[in-house]
Amino acid sequence: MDIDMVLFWIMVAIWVFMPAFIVYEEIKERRALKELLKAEASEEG
Amino acid sequence: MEMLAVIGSGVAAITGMNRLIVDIAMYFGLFVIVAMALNFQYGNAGIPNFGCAVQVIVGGFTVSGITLRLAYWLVQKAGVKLLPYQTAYDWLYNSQLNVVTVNNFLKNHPLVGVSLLLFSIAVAMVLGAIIGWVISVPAIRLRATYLMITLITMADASQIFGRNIPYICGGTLGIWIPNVFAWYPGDRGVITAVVTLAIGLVCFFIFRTMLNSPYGRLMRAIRENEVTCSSVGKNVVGIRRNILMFASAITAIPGVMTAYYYSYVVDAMYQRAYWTYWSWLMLILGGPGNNAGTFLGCALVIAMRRVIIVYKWFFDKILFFPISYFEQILLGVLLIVVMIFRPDGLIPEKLLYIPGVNYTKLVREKVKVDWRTAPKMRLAGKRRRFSLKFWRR
Amino acid sequence: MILPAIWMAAIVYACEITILSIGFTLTYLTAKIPNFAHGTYAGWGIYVTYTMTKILGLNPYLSFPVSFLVGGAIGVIVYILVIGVLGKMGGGAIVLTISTLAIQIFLTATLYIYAFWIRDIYRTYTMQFMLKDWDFRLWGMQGIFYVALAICIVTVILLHTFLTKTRLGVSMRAVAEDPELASVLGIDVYRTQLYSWFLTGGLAALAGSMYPMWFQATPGSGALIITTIMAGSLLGGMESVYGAIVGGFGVGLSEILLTKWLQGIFGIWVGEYRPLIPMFFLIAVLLIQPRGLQGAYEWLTKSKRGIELLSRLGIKVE
Repeated sequence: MDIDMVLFWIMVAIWVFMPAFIVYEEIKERRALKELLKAEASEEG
Repeated sequence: MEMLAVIGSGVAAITGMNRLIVDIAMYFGLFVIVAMALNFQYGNAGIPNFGCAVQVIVGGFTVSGITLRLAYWLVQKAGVKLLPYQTAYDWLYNSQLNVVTVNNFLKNHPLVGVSLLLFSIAVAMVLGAIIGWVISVPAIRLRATYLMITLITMADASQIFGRNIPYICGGTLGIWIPNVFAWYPGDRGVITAVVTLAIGLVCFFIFRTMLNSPYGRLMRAIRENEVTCSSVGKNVVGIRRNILMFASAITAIPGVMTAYYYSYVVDAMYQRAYWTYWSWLMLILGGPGNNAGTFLGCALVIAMRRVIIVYKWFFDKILFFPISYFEQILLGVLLIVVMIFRPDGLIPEKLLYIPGVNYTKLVREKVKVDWRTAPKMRLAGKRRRFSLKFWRR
Repeated sequence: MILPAIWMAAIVYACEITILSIGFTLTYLTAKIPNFAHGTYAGWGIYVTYTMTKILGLNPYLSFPVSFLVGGAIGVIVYILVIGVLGKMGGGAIVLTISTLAIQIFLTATLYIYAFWIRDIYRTYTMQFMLKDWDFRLWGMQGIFYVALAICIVTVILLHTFLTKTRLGVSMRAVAEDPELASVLGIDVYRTQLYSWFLTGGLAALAGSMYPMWFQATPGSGALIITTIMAGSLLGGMESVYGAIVGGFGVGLSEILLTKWLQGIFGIWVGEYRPLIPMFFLIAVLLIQPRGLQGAYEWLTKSKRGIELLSRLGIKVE
C-alpha cells in the first residue's frame, strides 16, 4: 500500500490519541479527587 | 478495507483536503510543544515568558547555521561536487543549487538524513538551554512586568540579529534547507508532521511526569510563595534557572521542525507576534496550569485560524482588507474576552491530586487556585465574576 | 542651516519620545502596569494628522488638537472596556499587562485596516509617508523643529503646574499613590482614573501627530516606538515624571546620535541595529538599577555607600 497513506493514518492516530489520553487522565484524577474529598467530608462530619 | 486500498492507490501525493489535515496536524504539533513548554513555565512556575520567540528562533538558526554547513561538509567529503559557499554572497546565491545536490545525495543515503535530523534536534536543545540560561539572568532579579518587558525586548533583538547577519540564516533573503526526508518515497509534509507529532507526544509524557512529581509540587510552591520556599531551604534561583533552561531546550524543537517543514529559513518566519502571542492565547484560552487546557486551547486556536484561511475567499468578499489583520484583531479581542469572562481558562486548574495524601491534614479550607493572582493568592477562595456592576454605579 | 540636520532630527525625535515617556510613566503611576499600547496611541495620532492633511487638505498643525482629543477618547475607551473591568475583577499586574498587549495588537490591526480603507477609497499612498512638504520654514529650518521643542517645553511646564497646583492633578497623584485612602478623602477614583487615561492618551496622540512631519511613518511605527518609550521611561525611573523627562530626552537623543556616531566608526551597516540601542538601555537599567536615574540619584544621596562614593569624589551632601 502507499506509504503515504500509512503515515497519514498514523498521524491521525497520534492526533487523536493525545487528547483522548489527556481526557482519560483528567477524568480519572477528578473522580479520585472527588471521592477523596467526599470520604474526608463524611469522615469529618 | 478496500476503501482504504482505493484511497491509497488513487493518490500519489497528498492533495486537497488531505493537505489541509496534514497542515493542521503540523501546526498543531508545533504549537502544542511550544504551548506545553509555556504552560510549564507560566502555569506551573509563575514565570511569564513572553520571549519564547527567541527560544524558537534558536532552533531555526541551528538548522540554517550549523546543520546546513555540516551537511555541505559531509557531502563534500563523500565526493559530490558542490558550488562554492565560503563567502556570504556565494552562501546565499548558490544555496538553492547546492541544496538540490544535497537532496540527491540524501535520497540515496537515508542514514545521513536521519542523523542530520537528530543532530539538529540535539544541538538545538543544547543551544536552547544556553538561551534559557541567558534568559534566566534577568529572571532572577526581576519579577512579573519587568521580566515581561525584558523578555519581549530580547525576542525583538534576536530577530534583528537574525535579519542582519547573513551567516546565520541568510539575512533578509533566507536560506534553503536540504530535505532530510529525501529518502522517503511519499510526501515530505506528512512525515514531518508525523515526526513533529511524535516528538510532541514524547514531550507531553515528559512534562506530565515532571508535573505530577515532587518537582511539580515544588514548582507550584515556588509560584505561590517564594519566600517560604527559600526559607525552607530550596534554592529558588537555581530551580527557576533549571525550569527556564529545560523549557527553552524543548521550545527550540518546534523551531527546527518548522525549518524542515518549509525547507527554508528566514527571520520573518519567527516573528514575535506569531510565536509568542498565539502561544499565549492558546495557553490562556485553555487554562494555564494543566496540560489538558493547553491542548484544548491549541486545538481551538488552530482550528479557528485554519478555518479562516480555508474560507479566505468568503472573507475577502465581505471584508476589504487582508486576512492577516482580521486574524490579529481576533487575537486581541479573544485574549481580552477570555480574560474577562473566563479568567481560569476553559479548563481550570484543579486541586493537586497526590495519591496517598490526606487533604484535610494538609489544608483546612478549600482553596481554589486562581492563576491571575499568582504568585500571591490574594483572593484565594473568592473570585469575583464579571458583572455589569462596574458600570452601574 | 544653523544646526546640522541630524541634530535637528534628534531633537525633534527626543521631544516626541519625552512626551510619550511622560505619558507612559503617568500610566504606570496610575495603573501600576506598563501600557504596551502606548505607542499605538501615537500611531493613531499619526493617522489622524495624515487624514486631516492629505484627505481634508488642512494645515497639519490644525490636526494637533484633534488628535489630542482622539487619543484621549481611545484611552478612555480602553480604560472603560478593559483595564477598569479587569482591575475591578481583581486581576494582578500580569493580567493587566497581557491585556495591554492584546490592546496593542488590536489597535495596530485597526490602524492597518484604516490605512487600507483610505487607500481603497482615496487612491493615495497610505503606508509609508512623510508630511514634510506641508510644513512651514522659519529662518531656514523646518517649522516642526520649533513647534516640537515648544510643545515639549510647554507640556512639561503645564504638566508640572497641573500635577502640583490644580485640584484635579493633585487628586490624580493621590489616586496613584493610594486609591483607597483617596476615596476615603472624597475623591472620585473612577473619574480621576478616567481623566488620567484621557490625558495620557491625548499626550501620546499629540506626540504621534508630530512624528510624520519629520520621519517616515507606517501603520506599524506606533508599535515600533514602544521599546524606545519604555527605555526612556525606565531610564528615568518608572515612578517619577521628572525622571521620564530626562530619560525620554536622553534615549531619544542617543538613539539617533549614537547611531550616527557608530556609523562613522564602524560603517553604514550599524544603522540596521538602531532598535538595539533603546533595548540596550532597557536591559542595562533593569539589571543595574531597576529604579532608573531616580533610583540612582536616591542611592547616591541617601544610602551609605552612595554618600561614601560622593564624599570620595569631593562632593559634600547633607
